Amino acid sequence: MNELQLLTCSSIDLKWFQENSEKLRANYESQFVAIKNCSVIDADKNASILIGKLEKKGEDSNLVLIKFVTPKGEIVIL
Amino acid sequence: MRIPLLTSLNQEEMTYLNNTVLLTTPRKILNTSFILDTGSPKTILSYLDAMRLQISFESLPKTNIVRIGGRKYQGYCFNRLTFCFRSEDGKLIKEEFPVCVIKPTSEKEMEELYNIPTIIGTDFLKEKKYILFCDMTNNVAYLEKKDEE
Repeated sequence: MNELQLLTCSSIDLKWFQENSEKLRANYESQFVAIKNCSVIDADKNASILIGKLEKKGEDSNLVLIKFVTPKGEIVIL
Repeated sequence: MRIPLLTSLNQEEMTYLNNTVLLTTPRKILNTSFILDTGSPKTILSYLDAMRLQISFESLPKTNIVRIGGRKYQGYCFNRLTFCFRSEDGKLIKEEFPVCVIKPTSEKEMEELYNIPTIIGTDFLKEKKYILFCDMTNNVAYLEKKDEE
């Protein structure tokens, strides 16, 4: 997969994550989730452990989109 | 040339201007997301992204102290980062830009910083000559650069 293809897929994954954040919160609240092809392929409360899990599965963790599922009622203000 | 931004208006708590980006260093590539924050004068590489890119803080020069979420963090300057975006018409846009990386000093700070995303600030817009278009009512936002003549 070249850079453009990766960016295209990744943007679709991000949109999917944002549109499904409420549903994802039911199972993954306060966890980091790894998203690929519009599905969660793994999750963990600790980002480093999640990256380790992905590597064990044979995924290149740097090419997988990782997002944090914020707890209900919480927003991030930078 | 335009870089589209997602606005996610259907999710009230997620009305950030954001999208995905590939970040590259001389050694690594990373698929991640960014938030465009016009309230930030500096572009900040998140701690999680810095870790995934295996950036070592030891060799980096210190910059300003950065205050995020009521805490202060030491900033470090990383000059060898390239942002790769996908334009609206499907082209790859590469922008090399120095970023500030912030380093936690405790486990608690590390946990908090892991939740802070990479932020594109106003320095990026100014230096790289991007215009921000944002129409939240109609769910349209993008960064635009006029083609150089």
